Parts: sequence; C-alpha cells; structure tokens
Amino acid sequence: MSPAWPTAHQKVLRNYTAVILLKQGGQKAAYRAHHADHGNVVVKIGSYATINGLKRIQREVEVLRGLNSKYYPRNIAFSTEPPNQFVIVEEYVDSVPLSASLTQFSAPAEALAFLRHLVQGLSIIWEKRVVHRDIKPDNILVAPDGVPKIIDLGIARLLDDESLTRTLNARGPCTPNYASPEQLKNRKAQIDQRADQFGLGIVFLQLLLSGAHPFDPAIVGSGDSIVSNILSDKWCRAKLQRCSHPSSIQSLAAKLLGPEPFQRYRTTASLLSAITVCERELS
Amino acid sequence: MKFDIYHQAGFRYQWNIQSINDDGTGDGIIIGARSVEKDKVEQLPLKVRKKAIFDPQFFLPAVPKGQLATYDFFPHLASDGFSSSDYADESAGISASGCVAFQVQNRFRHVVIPTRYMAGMPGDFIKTQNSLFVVPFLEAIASQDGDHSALLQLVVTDNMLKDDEYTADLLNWITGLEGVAGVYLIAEHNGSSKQIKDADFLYRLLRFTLALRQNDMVVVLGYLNTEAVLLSLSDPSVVTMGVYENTRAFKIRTFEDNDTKQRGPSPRLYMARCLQWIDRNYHGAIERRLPGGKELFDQNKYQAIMFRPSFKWHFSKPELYKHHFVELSRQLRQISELEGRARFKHVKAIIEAAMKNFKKMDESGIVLDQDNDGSHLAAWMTAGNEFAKDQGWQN
Amino acid sequence: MSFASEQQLVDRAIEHLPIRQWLKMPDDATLFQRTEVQGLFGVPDLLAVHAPSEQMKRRRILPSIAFEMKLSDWRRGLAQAFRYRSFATFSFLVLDNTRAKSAVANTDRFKRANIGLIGINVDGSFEVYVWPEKESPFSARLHAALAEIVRNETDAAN
Repeated sequence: MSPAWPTAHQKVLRNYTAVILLKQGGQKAAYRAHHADHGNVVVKIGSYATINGLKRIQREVEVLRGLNSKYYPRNIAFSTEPPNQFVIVEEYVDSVPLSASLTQFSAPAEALAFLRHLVQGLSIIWEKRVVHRDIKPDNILVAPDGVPKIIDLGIARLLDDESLTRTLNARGPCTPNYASPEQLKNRKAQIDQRADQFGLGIVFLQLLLSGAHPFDPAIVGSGDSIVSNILSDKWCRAKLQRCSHPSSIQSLAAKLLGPEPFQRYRTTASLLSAITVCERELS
Repeated sequence: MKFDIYHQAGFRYQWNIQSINDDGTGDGIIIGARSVEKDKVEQLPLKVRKKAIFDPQFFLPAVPKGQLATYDFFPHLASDGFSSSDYADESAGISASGCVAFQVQNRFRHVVIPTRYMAGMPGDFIKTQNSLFVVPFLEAIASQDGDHSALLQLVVTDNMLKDDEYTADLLNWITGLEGVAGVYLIAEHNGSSKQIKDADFLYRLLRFTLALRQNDMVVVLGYLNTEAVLLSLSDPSVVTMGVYENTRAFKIRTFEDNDTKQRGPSPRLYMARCLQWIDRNYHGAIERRLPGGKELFDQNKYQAIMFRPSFKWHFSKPELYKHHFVELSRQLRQISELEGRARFKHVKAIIEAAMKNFKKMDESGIVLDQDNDGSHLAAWMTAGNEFAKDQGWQN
Repeated sequence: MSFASEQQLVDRAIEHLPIRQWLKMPDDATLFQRTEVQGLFGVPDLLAVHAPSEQMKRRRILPSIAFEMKLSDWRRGLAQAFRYRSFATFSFLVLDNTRAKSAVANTDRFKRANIGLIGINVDGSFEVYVWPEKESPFSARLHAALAEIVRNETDAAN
C-alpha cells in the first residue's frame, strides 16, 4: 500500500495483499492484488460523475458476468461506495497488452490465428447483441499461451437498449484512431458488430505490419491524420500488396476495413470462413 | 451462381402456372395479393404454393385496391382504417401476425415482410418501415414454430438509387437486420418508355443487388422486363418475368385508388434476338424489307399458332405471353449456366447481336418508334460495361 | 414566317397539296379525306383515300396517302409516318419548311424508308424533297381496316 494512493482506494485495498498499481488515469486506477478467496485479482477503483456514468459501468459488469469464456477476464465482484465510488474485481490474467507485443504475431499464419481468437471471443458478446466499440491493442491482453483476453467493455453498446446518453458530440464514445467511420460520425443506428470488425481490421494489419497503423499518414503516404484517413478510406493497400501476402489476406483486410458496414462481413460465420480461406491459401 | 426464374403473376396467374407446368419456363411464381383473392390463393395446389412467393403488397396500406380487400390482415382492414401515426401501437402486430400466419400456413417458399411505398428519399424511411412493418413482422415470424426464411420486400425509387449516401444507409440497414435471409427488391424507374433507357439507373441497380449478394443475402428482383438479361450480371438469386406490362415494371399508380381505365395496349411480340417486344403492326415491314427478316421471329409452338392467318391478334391472347416466356426463359437459362466474366461476355454478345439486328432493320428502311426501336440497348451496354469494369471483367 | 401550330399545317396541306392529282383521281371521283383517323396504327393527321366502288367491292388495294404533320421534330415524324405505311400505299411527313433543314439533310433516311418528305410554307407553297414509290401496305389486315372505315363512312353518307 502506498501513501500516494487515494485514501478512498486504500480503504478498499485493505482487504487485499500484495497490492501493486497497474495503471492510473483520471478518476480510475487498476491494481493487481491478492485475495484470500479469489487468488490474484485486478481491482479497478474509480468514481462516477453522473448516474449515467455509473450505469455504463454497471453495463460492463452485467455483460461480463454473463460470460464464461477464456477470452474475457472473469468478473468476481462489483460494488459501490458512497458518495460516488465503484469497485470492480476481476480475475488477474498474467498477460501483456497487445500494444506492447505487436511484433509477436507478424507472420501471416500467426496473425490469422490471433485474429481468429479475437473473432471467436467477440462473437460471444455479439451473440448477446453487444458491440464492444473499443477494439484496440490496449484492450487486448495476451496470455503466455498466446490466447487473447478482451477487456474494457466500458463503452460496449447493448443493441437492444436505448443509448444511455444523448451526446452533443459529433463522435460517439470510441478511441478515434481505432474507430469505424460510422462511430466517428456518431451514426448510432449503424453501429453494430461490424464496427468491431473495423477495429479488428486495424489490429490485424498492425500485426502484419509489425505495429504500424494502417491509416497512419506516414505509412499511407498522405492524409492529415489517422482519423482523417479513416474517414476518407485511405489505408496502406499498396504496402500490403508489396508484402506479397496471398490475395485472400488482402481481400480479408479490405473487407474488414470497408468504409460502410455493409461492405464488411455480415455474419461471424462468413468472417471465420474468410480466415479459413486465408489459412488454406498460406498452407 | 445459378438463378431461378419466377413469374411475376397478376390476375392472369393461371397462364403463368400453365406456362411453367407445360413449357418449363420457370421455377415458381410470385403471387400478388392485389390480383388474386385470398381464397383462390389457398386453393392453389400445394406443389405450386411451396415454390411460390406471396407478395402482400402493402405498398399503400390505406388503399385495399382490388383483391387486397379479401385479406383481413391488410393494414387498412386490420386497423379499421390505416393511419401511420397510431398503426404501430397495436394494429401493426395484429396485421403482421395474420400475414405471417397466412404465409406459413400456405407453405410459401419464403415469408415476405412487406414495406410501404415511400416516394422520393424520405428521411424517416428506415424508422417508418421498422416501426410499422419490419419489427412487428420479425416478431411474428419468431413466434412461429420452425425456421422460416424471411425476405424483406423493398421498393427503391429512382431517387434513392441515385443517391450514394441514401443507398449506403439502406444497405447498412438491410444487411444489419437479423432474421432476414434476403430481399425481394423492386426498383421503380421514373421513365415513361416501355423499356428502361437510363444507364445510370441500371448500373446502380446492378451495384445495389451485388452489394446484397456479397452479404450472402437472397435477392429476388421483382417486376422485371427483358432487362432481367442485363441484371443477371449482378448474380441475383431470382429474376422475374410477367404477362402484362404492370407486372413487368413497377408503378405505384397501379395500386392507387383511381378509376381511369387504361386502353388495352397494342399486341406486341417478344423477339428474343432483339431483346424487345415489337408491335405486331411492324411485323409486315420486317418480313418484307429485312433480308432474312422471318428468321427474327422465334420459332416455337405459340409462334406457329399466332402466325396462322386466322389468328386474331389481341393483347389479351395468352399465346403472346407464353411465347415470351418460352423465349426469354431459354435465354435466361443459358445465362444462368455461366458465371462472372463468362456470363458478362455472353450477355454482352446477346446485346450486341440485338443491336446489330436493329441496325440492319434501320438500314433496310424500317423505322421503328422509340418503344420498339431497341434504343434501350445502348443504355444496357453502358451499364453492363461499367459494371463489368468494376468487377475486373473487361480485358 | 413559321407556322404557329400543327393544325395550321394541316389546314394548309388540305388547301394546297394536290392530293387528288397524286392519287390520280378523275375529277368527278369522290375523295375520302379525313383528319385524325383512329383505329389504325398511329393516328395520321390527314388521310386521303381514293375509293372507287369497284375496287372496294373487289377488295383491291386502295390508293391512299397518309400524312404526318410536324412543326420540326422530323425524327419522330418519320417514325410516325412509317407507321402509316402499314395501311396506306404512300406516306408523307410534312414539315414547316422554315424548319426543315435538318430533315432535308437526311433525305437518304426518308428514301430508305420510302417515306415522302414535304416542306410547306405559310403561304401554301411547298416543296417535295422526297417522292415515295408506290408500295403495297405492310399489313393486309390494317389496310382492310382502312377500307372498312371508308366503306362505313361512305355507306353512312349515302
């Protein structure tokens, strides 16, 4: 326990041992700790500014609680502390964020296998009509066995529910550099699982390109920013072609990065089938 | 992929069924509720119904024209007077349940989710269709036992097809719908000529269809005329052909409540080598002036009947249409055997040959008017070539 | 000076075109001449038929001229005039002579189609740019329909 940590956090963390700060940002912090009953856990402590904020967090918990999959950290507990604090306890996954290991899967076969894992993992929440909306390397943890764990469903969208906020922002909640065009334009009615496919497409290409962002103006050779390139459908097609990957990989990438949702894969099955085609062409 | 040929049946549906049974000219029929009363539909042999698609034709939900009045699930009847502002609350579900139950009980090939006709490019198109029809119908389908393949019926207007953003919105919406296997697509063209001469319209329709097919959706192209030959390039699942002109081109006015009785059209004969219906009154000129003109008339048993001196040509004679079905289905079946570039080359060759025939007619001093002269073929060629270029089929 | 309407063209044509002479009619023979005749193929603006009773009885082909009047749209006019060849032995397109230049530049099309081309002026003077050759109508059925119309009207008049 460090005296530098907020008092409110220290109060919660008294119930744990071997506490280490993992990351801190804004009103939130995540700690690795040991619990007598649950073993190694991640304790996320934060505060919510509004009731809507709390509801968003509760939604993440609600989605995770229903999952029982190797692709998601197991949710152990959720509680709130007055006046506006929340505590989420999840299983601790011994892992490295993908953002720190993007060069690990640069061989096409490995990138495809990793992509397949991600699709299989996401399909579990897609089937529940939940869209992650924030697929990016920071939100993918890589376990020692190479299996990804998808985290941070904080801005996941339940397709059947009314949106919790009417935002005045041009953009909806997302990480702009990994967001699909419809997310960037905040076209809520068009955001479904295919928005996650776009994020997957970016991640997949980053794996193949050893970390380079496919919409980066420095890689594309034009454009003002990654976001403007996303909006104008400018990604490193030529560079990918020069890598001499099979044409099926190029088709897969192009379809995942289709500027409109209808240009991507309509079903999980068709996406997995396309990955299979790529794997066959490689072998 | 191979496509099926369906007859877009109007009130002469028995001719369509006879043609399919006797001459093998199709794989099924699309039954229009406006033209066939409910009891008659239910009395059709099961063999026919299982391969049929029922079109509820809710295009104008407040106008139960013709036989629509025999269907108690038609919106105006189900809601005791259709009004879109309060229909969604209760009546939409009642209508949808009735319509779905009817389709399921009669074992039609698909369950069609009807939508209303909306002119122009309305901003609330998707919201309206969802609330009034799509959602209630999907719920009604889900409540039925067993799996039922659902087709979303959609009338797209000329304006919609020609606006990239609007069509993208439509495609995003359609392809994002769960529980929908495909689309029964009807494209309404603004032109007044008997054949579509708008290359842009045809090209966009080709692209729209292909986009749906690339999403593994079933696409039934309804209300087609001879442009089924061209539209086959977009890999549809089903193309259609029909008897009278109101089944070969969709015009909303045929569903409107007006009393203007149209004069019967002049009898026309489909000439496959011209990809055109040509007015009977030009046949003499073709036979006399064009060297080998007689060969342009397709030979089959119906042609033999029609060309007897005793035959009284009239637009209401079934031979005209049964002849058309024999010839057009033959052309379409040949096309269906081919795919991709090979299909394009074949279709292009057919169009080029037809254009040559019209050129020969012109050179022989036969002056056909614009509803007979094959002037639509230039637009087909343009649309087909553009589409082929997109697909990388051009050399 | 140009014509203001197609009706004016019709009036001038009736007044000044030597139709009887063209149909080789004796002076005392009755000319069947009508405007806007329905029930054939297209609606000729003017139709003139020499229908001597013997020929009517023998059901021979009746010498007949159909006219399509147009202020300027010669292409459309040519197509309409061609329709009339299905029932008439001659067919002409009559244009406002002040606007006939484009048509005159395309007389080969008229010759090929065997359709006559006339340019008529407001004062009634006219030029025949293309003389069609006599040719039997394309459709015996439609010619018979024409003969029926003439017969019915003639009988009614008598």
